[in-house]
Amino acid sequence: MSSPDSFSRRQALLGAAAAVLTAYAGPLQSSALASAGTAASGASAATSPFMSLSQMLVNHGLNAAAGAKMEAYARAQFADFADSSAAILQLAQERKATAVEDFYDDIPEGPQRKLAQWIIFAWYSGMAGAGKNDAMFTYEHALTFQVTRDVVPIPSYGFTAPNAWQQLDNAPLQPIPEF
Amino acid sequence: MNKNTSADVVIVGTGVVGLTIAEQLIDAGISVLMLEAGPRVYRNEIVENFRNMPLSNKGSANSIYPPRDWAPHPMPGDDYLQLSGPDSYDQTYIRYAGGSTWHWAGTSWRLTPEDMRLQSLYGVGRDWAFGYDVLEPYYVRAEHAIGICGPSDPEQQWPRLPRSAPYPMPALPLSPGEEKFTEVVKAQLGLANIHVSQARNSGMPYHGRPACCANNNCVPVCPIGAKYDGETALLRLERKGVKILYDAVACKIESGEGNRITAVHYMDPNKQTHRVTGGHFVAACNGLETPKLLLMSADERNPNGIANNSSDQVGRNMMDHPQKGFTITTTEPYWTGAGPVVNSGIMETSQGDFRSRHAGAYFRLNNFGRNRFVTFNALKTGKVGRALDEEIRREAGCTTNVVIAFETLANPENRLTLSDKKDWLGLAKPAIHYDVGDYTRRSADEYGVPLLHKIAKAMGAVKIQEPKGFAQSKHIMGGTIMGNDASTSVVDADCRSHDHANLFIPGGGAMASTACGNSTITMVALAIKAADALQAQVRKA
Repeated sequence: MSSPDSFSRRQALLGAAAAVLTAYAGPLQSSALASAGTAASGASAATSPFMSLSQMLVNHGLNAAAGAKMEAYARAQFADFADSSAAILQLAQERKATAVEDFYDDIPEGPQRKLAQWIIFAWYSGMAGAGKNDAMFTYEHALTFQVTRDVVPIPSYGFTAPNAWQQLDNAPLQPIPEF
Repeated sequence: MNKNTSADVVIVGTGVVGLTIAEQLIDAGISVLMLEAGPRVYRNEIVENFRNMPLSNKGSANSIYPPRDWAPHPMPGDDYLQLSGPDSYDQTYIRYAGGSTWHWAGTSWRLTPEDMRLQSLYGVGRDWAFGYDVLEPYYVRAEHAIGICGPSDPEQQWPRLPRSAPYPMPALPLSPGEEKFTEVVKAQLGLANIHVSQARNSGMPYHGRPACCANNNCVPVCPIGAKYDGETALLRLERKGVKILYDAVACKIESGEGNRITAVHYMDPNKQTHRVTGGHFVAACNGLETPKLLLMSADERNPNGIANNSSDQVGRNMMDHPQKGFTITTTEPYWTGAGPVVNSGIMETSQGDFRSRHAGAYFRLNNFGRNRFVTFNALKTGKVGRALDEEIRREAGCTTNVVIAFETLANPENRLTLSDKKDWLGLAKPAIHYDVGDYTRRSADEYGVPLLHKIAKAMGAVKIQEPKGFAQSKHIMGGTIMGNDASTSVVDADCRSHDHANLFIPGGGAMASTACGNSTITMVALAIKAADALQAQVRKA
């Protein structure tokens, strides 16, 4: 599934090197530096350090608008956000990671591990936490729904034709849809 | 006659019962004035409330319906209902225009002839004031009035008896998990998991509502109005000219000469009191709020409350379908989530001679998409990447919710009274003492739970999570119970008060037995029967 503001893994991996440089900077500097970086690498101008970091931690295309909300929240809630982000990205680079499995186990316990876990949590649930009053970043783009999108609709969005679900099979657990 | 203050018929409540009666009367040329305690809201607002609700709260039936100060309804963790007794009568209902139709599932099981003769056949509970043969034509009218789809195959229908007319729409398809469940319980246990007849449009529009498109969001709100809910009926009634006063909280029913009802008093959000008059009156403002209103209206003629002089049964016999929801884990998927949230069920287990000893039980595989319930558990495992995807997919596909819903018996000790605690307007909160009773507990212990384990085994369960105690089904019944004897019942066979010739109290409160299936279709059938009687009575007057 892709949309004008979606963010592909290819874009992210191309922009990751630039993002390492910009992770320490504030939003404006980040944007400028990221643009400079993407000009060299060919990545999208939409690249941001947070999206690059997210893309290393989540093996799927991500929604940039949802990511912007998560980034704003993370910057406010994680005192060491900039340092931890840069360190995680640095580690991913060192491991020449192309998927989260390539480096995740080596993220040290402490602030870096907490931030990494939270970012994954946020993308899959669309939430800042599991509480009923926790901040919500997205419903429609929460990745949990993508994992089952071949056989389960996102509640309130549904399938698009009357009684169309009678065409569905009781799908096996594998393969998991690409998204 | 000022249509804001008087009408041939004054109806308190704009849920499915009030709306059904109002439409029949207005179509017959009888003027109607409706009072609704809550606000008039629109679907887009409610749908956005849902979509903006945190994932952890998306399983809540009522969190997207915040109550107004002047029209409180039960919310998670609040104390609007003052509960006591061995079991908690912890109900959910909505005091908005359209009432609890906003968040009902649409499930529409008819009663059986046996369900209406518990005392005669099994020596327990109460018989109804009339038999299934009397009710059957009203069921057909109810199915057409609110748009209920259902199977044409008699083996798939409930009850398996001749019908006087077919359903207006065919049954909805089952989800992949429901198909598999149906095959498994038939092959291994000989049980028939049949299509739910449901107030939802199947493959076609009906009554200005579109066809169901599998939004899987009937509870807490259908985003497109494919399911019957009050909003589509309200729009139609407003166009037809029914006067509806919103945010008007009925607080007293006034009696007059000959103990006829003469007026209803209501309070507005400014705590000002107003009075509306009419020739006839209908109290249909929820199975808990109606008896509360009747009790609050005690006067010199009716010291026990309106409609309560002869029997002292108002607020007694509170019933529901106590339920137990099991989470069953399998190794192979049963995908739920495509189609309506409740789409099939095993009803034959609700019937049998065992009912002389214990309650019947109805089993259903809930068809809610599971992501909202399993995502946080999957994330707690600490898995990432492909392993996390696999965990979410496994939990969504291989965990199911199978529910047993039991019948209960009318018991006068299960009683709603007026609490000394007051709401925002200063009106009494409802207090309910409740015990599901040994009849239901025996069913759970000896019948329902053991059979559930057989069903789970047939499904290939590797883990069964059993709840403690009973949850409530939000099917509020019994508080204004029907009967032919004015000394033991509140209303007669037309839901007319025994004590007040011009007061009708139709709905779930009138039901003399619960059976196991959801109550709304029977409430609507009773509403239509009452509307016929009311129409004739107004004409005669």
